Amino acid sequence: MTLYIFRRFLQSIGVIFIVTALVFVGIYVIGNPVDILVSTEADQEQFDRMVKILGLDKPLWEQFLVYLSKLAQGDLGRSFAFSEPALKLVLQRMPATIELVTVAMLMALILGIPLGMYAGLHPEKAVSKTIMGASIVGVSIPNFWQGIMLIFVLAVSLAWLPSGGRGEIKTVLGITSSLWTADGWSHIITPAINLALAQCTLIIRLIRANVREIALLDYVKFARAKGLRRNRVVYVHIFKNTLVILITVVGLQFGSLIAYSVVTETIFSWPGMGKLIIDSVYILDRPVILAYLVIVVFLFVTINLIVDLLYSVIDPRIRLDGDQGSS
Amino acid sequence: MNRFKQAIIGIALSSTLSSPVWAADLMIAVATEPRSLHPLAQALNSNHELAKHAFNSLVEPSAKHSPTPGLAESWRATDDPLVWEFKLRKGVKFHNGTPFTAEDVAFTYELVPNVPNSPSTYKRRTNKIAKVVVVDDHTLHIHTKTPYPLLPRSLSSVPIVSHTVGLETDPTEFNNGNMLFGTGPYKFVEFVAGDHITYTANKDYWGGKPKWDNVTIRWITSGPARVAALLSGDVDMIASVPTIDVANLDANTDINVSCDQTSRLMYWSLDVSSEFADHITAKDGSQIKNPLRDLRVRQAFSIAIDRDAIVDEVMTGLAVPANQIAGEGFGGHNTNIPMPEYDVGKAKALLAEAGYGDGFKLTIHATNNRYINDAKQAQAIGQMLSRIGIDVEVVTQPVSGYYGKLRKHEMTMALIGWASATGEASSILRPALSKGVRNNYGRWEHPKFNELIEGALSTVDMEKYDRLLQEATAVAMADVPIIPTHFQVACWAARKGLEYTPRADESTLAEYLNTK
Repeated sequence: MTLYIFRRFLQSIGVIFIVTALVFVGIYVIGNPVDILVSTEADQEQFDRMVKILGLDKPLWEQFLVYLSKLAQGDLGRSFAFSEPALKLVLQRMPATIELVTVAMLMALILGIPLGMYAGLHPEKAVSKTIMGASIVGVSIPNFWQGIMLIFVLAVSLAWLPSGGRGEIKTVLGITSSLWTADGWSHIITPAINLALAQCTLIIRLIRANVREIALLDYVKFARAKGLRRNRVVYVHIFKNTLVILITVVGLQFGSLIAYSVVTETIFSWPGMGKLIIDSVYILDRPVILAYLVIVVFLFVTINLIVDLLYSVIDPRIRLDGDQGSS
Repeated sequence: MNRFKQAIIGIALSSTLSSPVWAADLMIAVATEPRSLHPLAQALNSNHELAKHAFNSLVEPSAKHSPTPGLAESWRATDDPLVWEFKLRKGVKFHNGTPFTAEDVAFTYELVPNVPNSPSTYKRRTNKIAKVVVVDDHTLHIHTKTPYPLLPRSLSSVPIVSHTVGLETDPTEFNNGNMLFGTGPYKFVEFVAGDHITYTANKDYWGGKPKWDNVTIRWITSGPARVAALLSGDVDMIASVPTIDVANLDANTDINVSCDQTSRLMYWSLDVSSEFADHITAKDGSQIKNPLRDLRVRQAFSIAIDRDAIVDEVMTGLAVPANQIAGEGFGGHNTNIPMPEYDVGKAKALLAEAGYGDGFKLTIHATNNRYINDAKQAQAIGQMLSRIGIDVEVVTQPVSGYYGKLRKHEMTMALIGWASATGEASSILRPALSKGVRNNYGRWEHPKFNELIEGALSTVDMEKYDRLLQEATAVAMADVPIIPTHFQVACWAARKGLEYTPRADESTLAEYLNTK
């Protein structure tokens, strides 16, 4: 078990190393960040001074080594543009993103699981066909347009919900979140729907396919033949067995939503990490881009780890590699 | 149920709509987040417009960018052309209660070039200053290195901070609000990165009671989302109205749109110096000498461009045609320079006369995420030049890396946007066209021009300055080293009952929003 976690940790260090190298080369190819940072009217001397302050006068390999050695000490550098520690900038905006993604994911699950189960158990019913039809619409509408439409319907035409922003935040039990206030909830609903729709579709389709497959397996037939109540067959024998695949996908999607909720955050001016990273890419703010990627890699690895651990809880047949000797 | 819901919403709506228009709480949405709250950390408009709420300058730029009294009640060039005298306003207090004196001004100008970790300081605005002499608490003598007519204008963009801040303070200390006390109309209350900043009225403001009790400025990057926020009543005013929405909002009786010309000039830089230009070949691909070195070719380009079409079609009317650096009503504008007349026939004749009757191949460059409709402008220009027989390829790219290439002179004809920092012509003319400066992308050289512009900028005789500046503009424009096409127009939209007074520097300031 410990060995397993340790190996995962080593893997993530490898990933961070490769990602960092790519970003260094990528930004080097695009151009010099100082060209964008200094004002148009800056003279050559001011320009050179800035290049020097940011350490961009050194050869690329040397910049890379300096960065890596600082990274090893936990120092992710200062943002070129904001002059603040890059890690602080990213972490400052992380709670907003996680809060949004969590609400969106819960919405998708609460809606997606029952609908998927229903469609899987009664594939021929008209209701199921409607669900499946509607779910296609969910994925095929571009996220951006969907967001704008949600704003126009819910905020402009009906005036039920605010058009964007995060709303009032409060700190309860050491956790600062907008979910503690009614105002916060009114702000989070629309962007969360925007983010949840595509996920919901995915979950519906996934569960439906899985349920249809499992429903035909021998142990389900046997359970039925034994005369078990229908509810028990559905919830214990079928549903529980869809969980493995559900957790895999939800885990992966949770990670990628955190990393790529950029579009939603931009439309709803949600002050999360996505907006920060897009702005940073535009101005080639290397330390922020890297700090963000390091955190995202870390998040992915952690989520995958949790998913793997959950597997062995749900399905005793699944064992973690490297666990064989000790159990 | 439905009807009940509607009734409730109706009541809620009517209560928000009927709230008095003179409600003193204001919510504004602007497009760009600040990178620092430190008023001197970075010479960026998004930082500066926030700073203007809590801080003042010695000289305040008016909506049209002319210098008006700020913390200095008056100023004059003394008999010594190197010394300016500023009389400071008395009885002004910083938000923390300390009195404002000449010492704070001297401190600020010392801090400007030395802000720790600053990627782009306001140094250019103070680098003409040799020393600041505090005569008494409310009199200041500023000595310049050379006679400098633009001192008051330059200082108008430098907010004054309290000397108690100290030279070593890291700019990030300002982001938590600890140091954010100025003399301005609004006091800092709260800042949430990426979301909003809140100010409250400074009841002791020297300029009288501020117009609003509380001001919140939100950052909504996406254009449609800003419009939606205004339409849904979430905000009272938005800045940077997307051009495609201006007409619709204007037709909406619940919204007041106000637009005006800014000091941001859009022009095409031309490589007028290289013997062989990187992006010009004969039509068969063989190398030819750079045609842009020939004045007739440049003139042909200028009159091949239909400025009215660019303004009407590409910019949907939200621009003003340009034939020089500063627009009408701005310093250095020369009324004698004619607007180049669109004439394809004449342009072709000029090309033929220069020996390029068959045209040539040219690649033009533009950004695609920096200026309003930048990529569309490039396409339009490409089409217009193809009408006079030039084979044009249009290449657009994000702004990251664009100006780096320009400074290495890797582009032959490229779109540039430049907002005059002082609101008059010289702050573009000089850095863009003087010999050997880094923003002279086309490497144009003209001894007479250099002499005139340096002359204009080294006299404190304002009439002489103006005359020389206009002459310099005339000399430059006659040689077509760049092709100006238009000045950008900026638009603001406010809810019924409010109207914004547009500012040429594109700033969004709560004090410029009036009840109508």
